[in-house]
Amino acid sequence: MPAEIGAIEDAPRDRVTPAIRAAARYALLTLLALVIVFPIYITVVNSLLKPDEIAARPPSLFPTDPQWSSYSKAWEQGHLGRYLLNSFVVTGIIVTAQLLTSIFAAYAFAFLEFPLKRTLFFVFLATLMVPFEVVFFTNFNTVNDLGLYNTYAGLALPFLATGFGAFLIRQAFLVTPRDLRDAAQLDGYGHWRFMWRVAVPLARPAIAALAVFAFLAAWGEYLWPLIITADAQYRTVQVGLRQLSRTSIDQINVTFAGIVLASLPLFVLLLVFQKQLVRGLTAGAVKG
Amino acid sequence: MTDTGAAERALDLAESAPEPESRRRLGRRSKEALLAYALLLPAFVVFGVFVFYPFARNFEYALYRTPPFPGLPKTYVGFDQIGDVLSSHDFQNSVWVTILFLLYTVPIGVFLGLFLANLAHQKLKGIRAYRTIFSSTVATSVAAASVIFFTLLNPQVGLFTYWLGREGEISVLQDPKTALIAVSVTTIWQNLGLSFIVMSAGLQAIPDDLYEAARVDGASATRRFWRVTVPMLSPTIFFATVVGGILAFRAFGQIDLLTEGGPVQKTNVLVYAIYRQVFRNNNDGVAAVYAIALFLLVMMLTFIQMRFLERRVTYAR
Amino acid sequence: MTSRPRCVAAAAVVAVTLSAVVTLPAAARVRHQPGGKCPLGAAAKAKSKPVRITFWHAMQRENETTLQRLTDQFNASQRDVEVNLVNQVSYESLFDKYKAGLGGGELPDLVQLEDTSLQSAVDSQSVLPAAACVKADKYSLKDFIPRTVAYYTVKGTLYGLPFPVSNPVLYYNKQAFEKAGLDPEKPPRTLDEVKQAAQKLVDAKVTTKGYAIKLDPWYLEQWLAKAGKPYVNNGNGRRSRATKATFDNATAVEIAKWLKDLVDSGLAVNTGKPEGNVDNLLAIGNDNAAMTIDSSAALGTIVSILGSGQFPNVTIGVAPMPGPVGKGGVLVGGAALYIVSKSSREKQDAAWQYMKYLLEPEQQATWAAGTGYIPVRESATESSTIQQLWSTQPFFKVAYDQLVSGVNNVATAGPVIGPYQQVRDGVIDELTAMLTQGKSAKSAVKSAAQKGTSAIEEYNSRVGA
Repeated sequence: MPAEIGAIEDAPRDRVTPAIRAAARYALLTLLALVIVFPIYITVVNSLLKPDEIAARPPSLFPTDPQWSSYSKAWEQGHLGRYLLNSFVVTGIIVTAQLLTSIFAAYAFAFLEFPLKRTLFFVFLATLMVPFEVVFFTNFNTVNDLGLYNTYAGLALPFLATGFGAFLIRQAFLVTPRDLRDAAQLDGYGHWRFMWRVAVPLARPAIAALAVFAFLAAWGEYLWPLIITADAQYRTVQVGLRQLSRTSIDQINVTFAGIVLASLPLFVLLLVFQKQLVRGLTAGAVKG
Repeated sequence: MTDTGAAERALDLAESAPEPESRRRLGRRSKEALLAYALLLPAFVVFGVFVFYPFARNFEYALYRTPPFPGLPKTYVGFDQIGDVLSSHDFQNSVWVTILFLLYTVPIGVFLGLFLANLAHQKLKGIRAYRTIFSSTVATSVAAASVIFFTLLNPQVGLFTYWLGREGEISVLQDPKTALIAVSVTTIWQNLGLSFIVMSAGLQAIPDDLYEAARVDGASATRRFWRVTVPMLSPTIFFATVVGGILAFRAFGQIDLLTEGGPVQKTNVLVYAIYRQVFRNNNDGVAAVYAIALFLLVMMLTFIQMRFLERRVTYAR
Repeated sequence: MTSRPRCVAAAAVVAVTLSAVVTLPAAARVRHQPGGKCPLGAAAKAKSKPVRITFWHAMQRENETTLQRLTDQFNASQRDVEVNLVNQVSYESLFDKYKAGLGGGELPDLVQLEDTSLQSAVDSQSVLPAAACVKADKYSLKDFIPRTVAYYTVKGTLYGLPFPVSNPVLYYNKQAFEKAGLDPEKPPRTLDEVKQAAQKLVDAKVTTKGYAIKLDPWYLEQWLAKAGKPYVNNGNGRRSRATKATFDNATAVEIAKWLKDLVDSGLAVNTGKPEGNVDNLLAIGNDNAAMTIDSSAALGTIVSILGSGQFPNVTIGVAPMPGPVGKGGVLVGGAALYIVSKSSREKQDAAWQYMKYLLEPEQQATWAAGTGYIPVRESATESSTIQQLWSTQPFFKVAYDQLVSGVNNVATAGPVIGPYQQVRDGVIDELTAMLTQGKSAKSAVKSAAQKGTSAIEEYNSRVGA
C-alpha cells in the first residue's frame, strides 16, 4: 500500500482526536496493568481475609475487615521468619562470593598476561554451556559426601562462581582507559591496589548490575534448596512456600500471607535498584 | 540467563583486546602469571567440582545400572541402558512435553513483552508507574508465582476456578487436557516482567529519528510497529526467544509446585523427570541419560544463538 | 568461527582431567549388620547425658501437636534421652530425604517410614530390626493387635513397630444425606450403594456431585485386600521377593469400572492426589460432594476444622470403607518406626527407649484420642480415655473395628514391594487416563499391572536379586 494513502487517512485522525487517543491509550495501559497486577493484588487481599471469606461466593475482592493475624501465623507456625533469615544468609554468601570470584577472574583476563590464557578463557566459556539442571544430582551427592547436606555452606557452594559474572565484569574492565593504567603504573600502584582503587570503582555499574542479578537468581532458587535442606533450620523461603501451600490449604489466608512475606524483599529490590536490575537482566541482550 | 550471549561477545573482545607491552623482564612475567592463576583459582575450583566433574560423571553413570541405595554395587551395562531409555515411552513423552512447554510459553511470552514495551514506549504522564507495574512480576520468584496460581486454581476454594465455572469439576491442574496450559500461563505471567524489561531496553536503543522519518512518510502506528520497531528489534526478539527457550528447557519449580509432573505425565518435563528418577526411583543411571539429553537440547539452542551472533558480527563489520 | 570446536575441546580436556584428579571422599557406606545387635542400656551409660536424638516424622496439624505433647512428656519424664522432632511434611518427602541421607548426608536416629517403605527399609540395610531390641529387652508383643506386628514382618524378621496405624473409612455428610431423603444413620456399605446414594444426592440437587474421589492408589490396594486378592506374587512378597504385580484381575477391573462409571455419569468428581491434598474433604464442605473415602488419620483434623464453625452445613458421619466382599480385610495402613543403624549405640538405645514409650498403652490411648489413629495396644482400648472417646464420638471406633474384624491371610498381610512408589505411579497414571481420557477400565488395569511388573523387575535387577 502506498505511503501517501496512509498519510491522508492518518493525518486528520491525528489532529482531530488527540484527547480521545490519549484517553484510549490510558485505558488500554490501565486495563493491561490491572490484568498483570491482579494475581499480586488478590494475594495481598486474600492474605487479609478470613478463610471462609476466601471460599465465599461471590468472592470478596476487598478486605473490609483485614485480619493481620494471618501474618503472625505465617511468621511463627509457618516458620517464615526463619526461612527469610536463611534466604538472606545464603543469598548474602552467594552474592558476595560471586562478586569476588568474578572480579578476580575478570581482572586476570582483562589486565594480565599469562600462559594458557586463551585456553582457560575457553574453559570459562564452556561453563556457560552446562545448565545447573544437568548436574544438580551429582552435585547433591558431592555436597552430601562433603558432609554439608542441610547446611548454609551446602546451600551456597555450587553457586560461588559464575562464568557470566566474570564476563560481565571483564567487559567493563576492558574499557578502562589506557592512560589511567599508565598513570597508575607511574605512581607505583601494584596490581592489588590498581584493582581496588581504579579498575573496580570504574566498573561499578557492571558490578552493581551483577550484584542485583545474582541476588535475584540466588533468592529465587528453588530446586537446589529443595533437595539440599532437611528441616526448617536451613530451609529457604522458596521451599518454605511449598510447605505452606501443602499443609494449609484450608487456612489459605496463611499461605497468601507467606507469599507476600517471601516476595517483599524482591519488590523492595525492584523499586530501589530498578536501573541496576534492568542493566543486569539486559546485559548483552541489547548492546551486542 | 543472558550467559552465552555475553560470553560470545566477550570472546570477540578478547580477540581485539590490546596486548600489554612486552618489555617486561622474565621474572616480572612469571610473577604476573602466578598472580593470574591465583586470581583464577577460586572460580576454577568451583567450576571443576560443580560443573565439569558432575558433567563428566553423567557420561560415566549412563553406562551403569545403579543400585537404589548406596552401598550396593553398580553394574556396567554399556549402551544398553541408554538404548532402553531412549526407546522408552516415558523418555519420549518427557522430551515432547519439554518442547511443547517451550512452544506454549516462549512465543506468547516474547510477543506480550514486545507488545507491552511498545505500548509503554511513549511520552505520557505517569508512564513510569505503568512501566513499574509491567515489570513487577520480575519480583515474584518461580515459587511465589506458582503458589499464587496453585491456590487460585484450587478446585474447591480457588478464585480462578470460580471464574472459569469449574467448581465441583476436576481441577485444571489434574485434567490432562489443561494441566500443561495452566503451568504455561503461570510461567508466562512470571516471566512477563523480564520479557518486558528486555524489550523496553531494546526499544530505547532505536534512534528516534527513524520513527520521525516514518511519521513524516505518513506511516500509521501499526505500520511503524511492523516496519520500524520489529526489524530494528529483531536481534533483541531473537535473543529473547533463545534465552526464553533455554529457560523453558530448564523449568522445574512450577512443575513441582503445580502438578508434580502429572496428570498422566502430561507435565513431566525433562528436569522434573530427572528429579523423579533420582529422588523417587533412586535411579542415578537413568537420570544421567535424561540429563545428557537435556544438555543436548539446551546446547542446540546455544548453538543457534552463537551462529546468529557470528553472522551479526560479520554484518557489523 | 573457531570458537566452537576449541571451546568443546577445552571443556572435554578439563572434564577428563578433573574427573581423574578430583577424588572426593568416598560416601560413608552404610554397613550391613545382619540381624544387628541391640545396644540395650547404652543410653543410660552414656558419658554425656541426655543423649540427644532426632526423630523424623510426617505428622501434621493435630497429629503433630499430639506427638509433640507426648514427646515433651517423655523428655520431662527421664534424664537419659532427649528427643528432637523434625517435621518432614509428608511421608513421600520424608523418604526422599532419608534416601538422600543414606548417600552420606544427614540421617535421623529414629525414622517414621510409611507402610509402603518396608521393603526399601530392608533393602537399604540401614535399620536395626526392631526384633533385635524386642529380643534383647525381652519386650512382650502380646498386647499388640497381632496384624499390626505381622504387617512389619518380612521373612520372619520384625523390622519396625507400627506408629501410627490407620485405614480408609467412608466420610459422609449426614445433613446432605437427610436433605436428599437418605437415612443418615445407614451409610452405604457396598460400591453399588455408594452409587445409588450419589444418584439420589445429585437428583435432589443437594450436592453438585455425590462422591469425591481422592485418586490415591492406596484405595485400590485396600479394596483388593478386602476382596482377599494378593497384590503381588510370592505371598504378597513376604515369602520371598515379589517379581510380578498380580492385580490384573476381575475385582480390580470391577473397581475401576465403578470409578469410571461414577465420573462418566456425573456422580463423582476426581479431586486428584497431589501431596497434602484435602480437596476431597473441602468438596464435602462446599457441598460439591457428600461422600468420600479417606484415611482415618484425617479424623482429628476433620473434627477440628468442623469445630471451627466454618462449615455449618456439614455433620460428619464415619462408616467402614464400602467395597467388594471377600475373604479379606483392610490393610494395616499408616507407618512404622525404625531405628537407624548408622547412629551411635547410645542413640540407637535412646531411640528404642523413646519408641517403647510412644507405644505404651497409656500413650497409645492419648495418641488415638488426639488424632483418630488406631491404638495398637489392645489394653489401650480398655482405658478410660478411649472408652469415653468411643462412647461420645463413636466414629473414632470405626477404623479400629474395621481392622480387627479382618481375617489374617496373605492378602491382608499386605504387599511388600521394593519400588512401591513406582508401582503406584503406574496405577495413578492409568486410572487418571481412564477417568479423563476415555481409556477402558480393563485396559487401564492391565497396563497398570504391566507397568508395576516392569518397575519391580527393574528394581530387582538393581538390587542384584
